[in-house]
Amino acid sequence: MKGLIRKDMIMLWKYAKAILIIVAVFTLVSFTGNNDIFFVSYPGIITGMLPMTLLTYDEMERFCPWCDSLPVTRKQYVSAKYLVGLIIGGGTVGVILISQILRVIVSGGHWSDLWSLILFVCGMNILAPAVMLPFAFRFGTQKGRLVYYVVIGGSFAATSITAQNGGFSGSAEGGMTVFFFAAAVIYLLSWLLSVKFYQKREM
Amino acid sequence: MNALELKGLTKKYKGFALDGVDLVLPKGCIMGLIGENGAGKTTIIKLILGMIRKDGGSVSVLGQDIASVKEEIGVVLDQVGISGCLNVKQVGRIMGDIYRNWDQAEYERLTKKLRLPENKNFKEFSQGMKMKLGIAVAMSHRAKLLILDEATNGLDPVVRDEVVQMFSEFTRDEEHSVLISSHIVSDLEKICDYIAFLHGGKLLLCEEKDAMKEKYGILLCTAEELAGLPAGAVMGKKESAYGVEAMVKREAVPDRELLPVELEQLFIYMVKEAER
Repeated sequence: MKGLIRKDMIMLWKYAKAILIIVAVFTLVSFTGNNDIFFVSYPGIITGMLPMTLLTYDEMERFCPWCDSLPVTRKQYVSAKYLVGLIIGGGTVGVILISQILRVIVSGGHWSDLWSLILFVCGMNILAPAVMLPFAFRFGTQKGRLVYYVVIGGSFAATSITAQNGGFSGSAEGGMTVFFFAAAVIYLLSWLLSVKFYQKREM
Repeated sequence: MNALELKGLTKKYKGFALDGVDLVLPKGCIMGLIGENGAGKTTIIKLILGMIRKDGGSVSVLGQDIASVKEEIGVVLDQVGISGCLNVKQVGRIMGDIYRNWDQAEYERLTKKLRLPENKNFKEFSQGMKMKLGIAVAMSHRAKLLILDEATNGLDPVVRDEVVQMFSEFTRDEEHSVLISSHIVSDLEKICDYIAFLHGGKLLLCEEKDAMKEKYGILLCTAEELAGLPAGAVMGKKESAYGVEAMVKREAVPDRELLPVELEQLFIYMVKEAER
């Protein structure tokens, strides 16, 4: 599986550099004073889509059938995509966390709001691939693309609704904790479902 | 123990069925799978590799189930599935993480021998270069069995000859075997010990190449002479205004002079006969 993760990381570096720039720009904007929830959560949502992007490249480049001939099980292949999702998500949330800690220190703010915000970004980051990947592993990324657009739209709608309802005031902390753990459970179930779907797929 | 054993292998699709294929590839040998496009060559290879589920029959690779011997097989598919953004060096590093027996020195020797540029991305390679990299990967982890699906496609004649020789050298070790599918019969004629003819999902013939050439010959005769031959002697025929050219079993016409038969001729005759 180490080889698969190495491959995905190289692919991300080569194919998804623009997304890294977007993450940097949005993080910078969110840090420099514009306390808009959109700027904080967008990098988390967009990097959550990257495992799906990697899967699309693998299908396009005919890596999936070839991978079946390597000493790699289908479960390992699926797991690599979910692990890469967590690695990228972790990195993105780390960058957002640092920028927001600096913002609270420099511009002031509530630490509990920051905690709610980070839980929301984490939840959105894993919820998006958790919904998309089983469809992609079951029906292929072409058909899974429809779900991709629904998830992107849904993610931004959720962000907007959260912002309109007062954002991440201290009282939101409990709700956000529940949201994050629910997303984590869905991510785990999604992984199990994807493994099951992919093991049944014919190449 | 045989390198490969297929018994009654069956797979049904809408409009195509692989029909109870039996094949045995002994260790240390090269078997050529010959068939026109859509004959079922790739389906057989996919079934061997477990990419698709079989509807019937059994597959044994190096005496075991495919899942337990993937370290010991090298595979080149008709489309090499290496990611377009990777270069030769990166592919080597990734494969080193995937195969326990990865031999980096051998990989570097092969990529040099096949004149593959180290730092160019795979997507910038020509079709031939892509195939060559796939072959280098398949031969760099001390595999005992190579499974090659149209692996000589896209190669120019000089490189094709070089690659075909590499496969031939690979089987100098009696533990090493090769299954290669192609519709370029001349490539297979050079190196194969066994030949299997496939047509419309059915195995028409599977025999030792030399025995096959000794067993069949081309008879030039008239239509009347042909009609007088024993039943079952004629494997296929071509009739024209000048007479008949028939592929016959040598043992059935011991008193006639026969022309030697080429594999390609034999295949075409058998396919035409099967279509009658």
